[in-house]
Amino acid sequence: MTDAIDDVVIVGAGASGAAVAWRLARAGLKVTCLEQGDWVRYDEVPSFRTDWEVARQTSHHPNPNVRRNPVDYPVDDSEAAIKPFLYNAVGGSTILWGAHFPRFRPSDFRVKTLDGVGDDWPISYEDLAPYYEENDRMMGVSGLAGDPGNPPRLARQMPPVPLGRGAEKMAGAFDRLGWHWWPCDVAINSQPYGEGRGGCNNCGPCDLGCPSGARSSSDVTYWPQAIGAGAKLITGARAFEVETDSEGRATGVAYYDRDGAAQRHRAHVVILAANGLGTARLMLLSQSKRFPNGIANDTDLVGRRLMHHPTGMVTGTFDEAVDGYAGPFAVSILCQHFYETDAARGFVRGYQMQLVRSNGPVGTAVGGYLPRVPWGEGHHETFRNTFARTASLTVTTEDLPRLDNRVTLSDSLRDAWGIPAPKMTYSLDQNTKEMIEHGIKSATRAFNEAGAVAVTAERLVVNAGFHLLGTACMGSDADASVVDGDCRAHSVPNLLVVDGSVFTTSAALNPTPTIQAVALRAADRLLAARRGVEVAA
Amino acid sequence: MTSIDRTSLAVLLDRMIPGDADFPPPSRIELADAMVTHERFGAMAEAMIAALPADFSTRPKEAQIAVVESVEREKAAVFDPFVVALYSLYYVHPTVLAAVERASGYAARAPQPEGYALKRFDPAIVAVPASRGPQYRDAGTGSSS
Ligand SMILES: Cc1cc2nc3c(=O)[nH]c(=O)nc-3n(C[C@H](O)[C@H](O)[C@H](O)COP(=O)(O)OP(=O)(O)OC[C@H]3O[C@@H](n4cnc5c(N)ncnc54)[C@H](O)[C@@H]3O)c2cc1C
Ligand code: SF4
Repeated sequence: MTDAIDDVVIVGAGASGAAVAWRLARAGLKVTCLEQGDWVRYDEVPSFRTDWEVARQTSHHPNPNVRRNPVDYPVDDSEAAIKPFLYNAVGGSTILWGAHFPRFRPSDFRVKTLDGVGDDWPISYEDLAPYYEENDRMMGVSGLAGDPGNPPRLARQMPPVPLGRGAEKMAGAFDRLGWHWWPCDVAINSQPYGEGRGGCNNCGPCDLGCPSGARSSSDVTYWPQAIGAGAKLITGARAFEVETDSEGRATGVAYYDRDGAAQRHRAHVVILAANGLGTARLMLLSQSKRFPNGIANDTDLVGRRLMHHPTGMVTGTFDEAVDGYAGPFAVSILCQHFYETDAARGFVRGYQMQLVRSNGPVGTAVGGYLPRVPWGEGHHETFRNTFARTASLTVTTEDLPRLDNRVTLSDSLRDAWGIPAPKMTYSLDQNTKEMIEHGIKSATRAFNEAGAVAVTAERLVVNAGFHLLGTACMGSDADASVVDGDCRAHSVPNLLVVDGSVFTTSAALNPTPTIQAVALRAADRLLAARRGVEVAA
Repeated sequence: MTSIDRTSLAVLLDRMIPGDADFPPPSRIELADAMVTHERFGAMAEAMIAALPADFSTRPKEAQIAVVESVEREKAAVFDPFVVALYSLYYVHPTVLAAVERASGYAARAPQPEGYALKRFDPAIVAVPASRGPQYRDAGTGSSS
């Protein structure tokens, strides 16, 4: 690697792009990151206003097709049973996230060997364990060591966030049923931690941005340190092609700047971190003589094997207030009693149940956890009986990879600069449907045990496409995967993919700690191998 | 939007959220005006009004309800965003928030900067699950249960 051009150019400044930029810049590499969004300002987050819930339905809606902010790209979801949720900014989708921070279990990396489905990852839990620990330290985790549902780990940086009355009821119910439960690991400061980051004051809507920085997002954790170590971050930069030489080696990235002018950023190594949707889109856009179907796509696997975490939602209504609008909305406790395969249940793999708190008045009325409050006579009575009285359990299932579930380029939709939008084609398989049914029965039992006066189930939460996985999958076999265990493209030696696209299988847990651990490990592997990495002449 | 359309909208909103002893009907807080002038929600109101018959506001109450039910059934792409717009604007109005506070104790203020007080986590609560042995599966890669 020489000084004439950058060592590394990264596309995407979200969870994974930030982690990899920090690691490589700290090792002394010349790193530039291209991000199409901007920095978020925390002095003007909507939760300072009484109309904060309007922002959730408009400017801060997680679906870019509803949000339609100028920096967003649209997604063709006309053939997708689950709608895309993501954010475009420094920090990526962690700007909106709930910060639930579980690790995958060891078995999640071996589903083919253990259960005969999907594929094994080329790396194991043990390979990632030190990177999970390092990532925890960087993001800051509140939680409790000693969970019998997971391998031992170091003490968390901070004690768990307050559980709230809903979680206390459910914890008692799980105990009486003899089921596993544990306080969630969360990337939220239960007390001040990290540079200039305060403690959580339980305001509720983490998805609108956390003014004290208590809720971790990669713009307040990794990025300040990455920039301090010399990384350069260019915002308002929309990548539209990974450029290659005649041998198919990456030479850099072409992008449109804020004014719509085409620019080129050259580097010895290109790293894609634009998430499971954005990375697949960019790879498919990067067509050349060597790669007529998109870069590193000789196997036609780029964009395929799209996985979410199909989710059912079960809500219990209590006859007293449980004040679920208070506390970080997405996190308190989780139950992994039905996580591992049990042949007697009639499906393979399993699910987690994550207790989510509840909504403000608008969120209660428009529905989400519960159906929409009906209009007309009786509207207010229903509102009064549900507002502040509910808690919900997600039934978050493991999605197995299927070739037909995929990201392609849309024929009809383009973004503001004319770049074709990604199209998601996605449906659920029978195994998943059965898992959700089982989960609904389990969650209903738990709410009944907890004394809920009404229990309502939603069989599939359509608006839950926040985990975008698998579209440039990792594997040892170059004919059956896109990247190797170190995240390097099999057919482009100096191209890495480090976001959730590389997941071989999805597990049934929120993916970001694993995405970031994989990214940190990929950075280390690149550093170890870098003199041997074949770069463009 | 014409004045006739505005009248229809005001009538429609009151049909959808009739007031009661605690909560005001939308007409009392001039919600129709707020909706038509809203940057995002105005278009949803326009689309909904376009889906109603021109004489909507003068039809009997039962007939109006039947019309709205049919739009809900047959034109979800218009109706669903409209309901989001209506409920969003209604439930952030100060008068309505005050009513919510009276009914539930939820403070009619912004979540920040005060936040909410919650009882700190007490480790005693995990006594039962913590007493159990490992519950994860041996993957044969080094960690075991
Ligand atoms: C509402 C919501 C709640 C969530 N809750 C949780 C949770 O509780 N726990 C959890 O683990 N995960 C959660 N997630 C998911 C989590 O946010 C993602 O897994 C994580 O952010 C993915 O990291 P990433 O680096 O792959 O992509 P992202 O963080 O999405 O970052 C990708 C970045 O790439 C940029 N980009 C894309 N295309 C281009 C281009 N062509 N040119 C330049 N830049 C580009 C985007 O603007 C974006 O900033 C949630 C997500 C949402 C939306
Ligand atoms: S609930 Fe806590 S972490 Fe979430 S935004 Fe409010 S203060 Fe921040």
